[in-house]
Amino acid sequence: MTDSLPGVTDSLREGKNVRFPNPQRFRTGPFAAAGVPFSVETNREKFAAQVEDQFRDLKVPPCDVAEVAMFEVLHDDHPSDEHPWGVWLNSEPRESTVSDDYVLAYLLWEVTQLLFEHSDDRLHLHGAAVALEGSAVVLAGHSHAGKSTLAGWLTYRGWGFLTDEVAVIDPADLVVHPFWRPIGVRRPGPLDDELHFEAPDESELLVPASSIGCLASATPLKAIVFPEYAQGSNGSLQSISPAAGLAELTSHFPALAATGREGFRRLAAVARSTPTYKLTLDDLDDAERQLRQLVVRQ
Amino acid sequence: MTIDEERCPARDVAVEAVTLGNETVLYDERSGTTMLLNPSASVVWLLLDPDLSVSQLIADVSEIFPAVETLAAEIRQTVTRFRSLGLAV
Repeated sequence: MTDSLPGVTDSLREGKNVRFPNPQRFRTGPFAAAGVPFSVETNREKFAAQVEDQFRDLKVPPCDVAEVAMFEVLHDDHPSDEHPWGVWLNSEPRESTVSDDYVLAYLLWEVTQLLFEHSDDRLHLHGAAVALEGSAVVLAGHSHAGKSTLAGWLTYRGWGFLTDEVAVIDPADLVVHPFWRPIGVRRPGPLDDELHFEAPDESELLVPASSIGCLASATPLKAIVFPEYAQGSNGSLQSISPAAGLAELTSHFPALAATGREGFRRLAAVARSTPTYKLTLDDLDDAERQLRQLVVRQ
Repeated sequence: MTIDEERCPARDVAVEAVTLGNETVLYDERSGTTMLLNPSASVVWLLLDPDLSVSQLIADVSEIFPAVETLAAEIRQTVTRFRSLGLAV
């Protein structure tokens, strides 16, 4: 449900009123990205409803929220503008030329950055994470490595969904915390082929994980896997040494530069006590079997 | 002067090393780069001491890996690499 907030136009900064003449605002949320709270305000009711629906797994009760990051996503109301959307975070401009078909994905990217940039003692790894029988597996990989597809597939096959993009690990107790972003499903792709989503023919679709499977709560970390697609592969899961795992993990830890050797030490603590593997895959069900055996045998 | 007669470089203080098992990962805080060292290179890193000559280092490491025929050449190469990357000075 969205709240109409016609009175909040005062929050428009000077000079923006001309570009965004629609005075009515609609606020959605509050949401939380792995404990980092945020809300979204827009001048388009339809977009507010879309955010409310697509971000449904990130919704939190208002009483749980202290300081909230505020995203403003505003349409300039100009019918001929191909990039009519602008995005602000806490009144600071982030992007001013976003198209209709990209605005939701862009907002999700901003929310993900919000988590990456949030500093606490937890490690934010670039990776998906899923859980089975009380054990979490992190699937660390770069963009376009197929993390979301694999995480979505595993969720659809009965694993609990923790995240498809940012695995939040507490190095003190090695627990993976959830960040239930909507899953970015690429089209065409295996998940789309299987589930036949009813949606416009966009290249990427955001799908709330709860619509295809179960959400997992914070779960102890059992293994870190580096998936790699290789056409024709039978699906092999190979153990790699803790040091090789650590070296690989450094390339999936965006905060390494900012946190320096302290961040490196925290990453090393995780690598020291968590087995790491390389998963070569072609068929998603083969990969699911390999990962299931990994969890079961541990 | 040959490399064997030279003093060993010292590990740079900006480099953090973590040894896991018999391998080591180096993290250079200045450049943000990391390097995975195999078991023999890990021992070279641990034994780097500017009070030693490279030939003494080779002798020490050879006691740990007596069966490796190409060890001396590998150690010279490793020391040179540490120097050229600024990991040891």
